[in-house]
Amino acid sequence: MTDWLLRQSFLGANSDEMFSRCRVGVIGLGGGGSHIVQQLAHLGVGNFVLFDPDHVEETNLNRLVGATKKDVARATPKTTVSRRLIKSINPNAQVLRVPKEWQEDGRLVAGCDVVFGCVDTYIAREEIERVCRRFMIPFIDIGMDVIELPDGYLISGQMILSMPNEPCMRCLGFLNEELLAQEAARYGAAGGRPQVIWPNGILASAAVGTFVQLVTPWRRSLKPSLYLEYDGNTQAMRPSNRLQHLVGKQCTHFPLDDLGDPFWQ
Amino acid sequence: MKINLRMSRKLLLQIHQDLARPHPFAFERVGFLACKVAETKPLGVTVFPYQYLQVEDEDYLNDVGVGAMMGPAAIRKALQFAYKSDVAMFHAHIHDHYGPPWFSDIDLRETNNFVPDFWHVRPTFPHGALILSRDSLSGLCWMPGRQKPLRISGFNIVGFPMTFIRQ
Repeated sequence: MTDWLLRQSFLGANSDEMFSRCRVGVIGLGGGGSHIVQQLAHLGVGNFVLFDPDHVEETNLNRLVGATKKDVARATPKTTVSRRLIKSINPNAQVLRVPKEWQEDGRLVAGCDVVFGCVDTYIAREEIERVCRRFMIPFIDIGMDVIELPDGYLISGQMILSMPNEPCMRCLGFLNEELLAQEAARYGAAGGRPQVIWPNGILASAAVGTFVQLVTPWRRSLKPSLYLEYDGNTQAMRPSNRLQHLVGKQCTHFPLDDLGDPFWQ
Repeated sequence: MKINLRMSRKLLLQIHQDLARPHPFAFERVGFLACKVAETKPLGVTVFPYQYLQVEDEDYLNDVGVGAMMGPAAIRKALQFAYKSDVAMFHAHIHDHYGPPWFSDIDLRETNNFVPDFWHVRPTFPHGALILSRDSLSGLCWMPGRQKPLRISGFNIVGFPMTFIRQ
């Protein structure tokens, strides 16, 4: 066991090897993704592929872990901030920065062992899940929203593990055609939605905990959570009750043979 | 070029269950895996087995010189499946021990004989052979245009838990 990881040796005798071999993709390096890369670096994850086309702006500083005023002034790419953060914790980590839309080279996503999605829209989640299913990659999604109500604000969020051969986001009722169509109709009118750091941190921690349980099952009897719902107003995180309707059911949205490159020649 | 393979844990269990069944006269069982393929960065090529095809009892030859010898019908059925379904095909059998397995001389000779035949029906796909052990696996992959097979350098078993095997 590597010295700096000794205190987490309870995760398994070879957990440091598992983490160091693992190639993790993180799509979206804002409030959620920056928390995730920081925690993964502390765990000893050895290979990162970081996707985000944006640079740091003033309004990111309330939640973007690792970003500074200087990054705002220099318009530092978010992938650079995350790489700097990772390297400051684990200089041996291999970090591939992809400062563009992940769709521009989907083969880089396909090469990941696990993908974290930290994106803002249902459409983006649907696209990432589709690619991950095709290339048999576990996909861990997090997201949060601050919704204005007549008597205040509601903070809600979710952490979903979309596992090949297991229920997908449509099976879970998280995605549906109506929702995707509504969002597509609103395209370009989203504006700057409210965001704040601590719910991102809670959801990112749940996502990283799910990743650890998936890769080094330190509690043998426990399957990783598939769908956790977060109520930011009561600070509660609980498994979605939608899961109980899916026990023993096969996903019908992604056929088992819908894999690989359909145009392979 | 590196070759990687990703397979669900459910499928791996199904293969183990079939290969563990006793045969009326053969010492061991064999099977085939229908696979899809993709180029993945920076891994090179990744193979995705998705369906296990067992070899029927009557399609084995009674040959005491080897653990299991497939008859022509077994190969023909696998070739037909590859042709009809437009897939890569990988042969599979098990060595009953723990730790990484590897091909015996007989395994190498036989796979060298029949795996390239799949190019007659699906010339653009890689084809190959896997050897399972109780807790690991190894494999060889014949890429189109190459006479010699490449060793599969990485396996991802996708399920609860994930397993990464790097060789």
